[in-house]
Amino acid sequence: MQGKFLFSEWLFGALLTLYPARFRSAYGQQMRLAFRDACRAAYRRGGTGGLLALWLPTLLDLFKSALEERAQGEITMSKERLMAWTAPLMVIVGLLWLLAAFTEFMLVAGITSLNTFWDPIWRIPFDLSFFLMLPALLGLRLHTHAGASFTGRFGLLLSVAGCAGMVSLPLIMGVVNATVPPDQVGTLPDYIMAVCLPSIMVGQVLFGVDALRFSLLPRWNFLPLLSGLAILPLLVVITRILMIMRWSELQIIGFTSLELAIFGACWVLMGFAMTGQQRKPSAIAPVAPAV
Amino acid sequence: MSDDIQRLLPLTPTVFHMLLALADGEKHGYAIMKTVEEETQGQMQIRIGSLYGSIQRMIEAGLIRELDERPDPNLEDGAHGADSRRRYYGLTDLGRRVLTAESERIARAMSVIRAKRILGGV
Repeated sequence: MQGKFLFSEWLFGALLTLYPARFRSAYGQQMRLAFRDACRAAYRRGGTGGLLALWLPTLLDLFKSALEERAQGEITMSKERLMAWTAPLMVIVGLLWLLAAFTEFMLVAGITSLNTFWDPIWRIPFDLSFFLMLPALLGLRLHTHAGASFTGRFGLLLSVAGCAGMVSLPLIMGVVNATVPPDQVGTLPDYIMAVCLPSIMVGQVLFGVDALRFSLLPRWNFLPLLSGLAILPLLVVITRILMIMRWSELQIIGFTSLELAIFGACWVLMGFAMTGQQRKPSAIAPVAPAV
Repeated sequence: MSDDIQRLLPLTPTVFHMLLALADGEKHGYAIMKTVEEETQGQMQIRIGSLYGSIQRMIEAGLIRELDERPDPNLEDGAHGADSRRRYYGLTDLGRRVLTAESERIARAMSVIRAKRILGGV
């Protein structure tokens, strides 16, 4: 009799490796103890047949629940990973915007001239930044979701949507260029950017207001608002005014460089502000569906 | 009813019966399994994998808590005597309030069932 128990318990213990390591270390021993009791009760009721009858549903349940825990564990791990990467991603995004600002500044400073090479080169770090900004914003949402009000949450959602639009712009243009004659493509990318960029910035402003009200960041809570405001009035209003005032192209580029630099610096500092902030994902995990 | 309770309702049958099993005192995992089985006349059998998955999520949701020490050092652990390695679980205040709210919901449904004579003249 003892041998059957020992084998059953050994097999059950071996099957526990199907569960994620974290779950196993938290509950593995308790599961073994419970299974030991269940084995003995089943044997008392029905002998070896009772023991075998216990195994089939236990086995099915083990596979099912191990799969659930693995799926749940993956989601939790992804969230934790995203939260851990938020600060470095924000710093990198900020640096890319600073790099874009620098390439623009080189034109203004006369270090290089406006030509077919330098004209589009600032777009490389600028466009690349949105691919990193998207996970950074999602991570920021995870960090601040519990403390933010509707305004802040909506602001971040707006920024995420705008950023997703910017990320999908190359894909959209690829499809458009493949299906639409070149002369009909026109200014579609400009229209997409005209919607997506303000979305990001308005979102930053809304989130920034919330950050100031509820101290959502560990420090320097003025930064999200400043980063949004730096771009919005400058990009939309001042640049327009400068064009009406017939400023030269280089002067307008200089202003754009300043906008990019302010936004970049804000994001670098926000990244540093976020460094070391680790909140448990359980604080933001939706509990109701899981329960 | 407060929002933190409302967002957890309605409970799944497993969670409801596990809370019900803990309503009259702290228990370890296997005792919860057996109590649920007895209280549902064998209609609900929670298997070990599902049991500890539910325990984990209920702890995360703040419905139950793991006790720091055994509720009663002389407590019998089923038919096999005490085992100091066992962990015991008990209801939190939130868990008790959620159980009450869910029981009230079921009781209201029960009164409708009676009024409509769904259970053959009951």
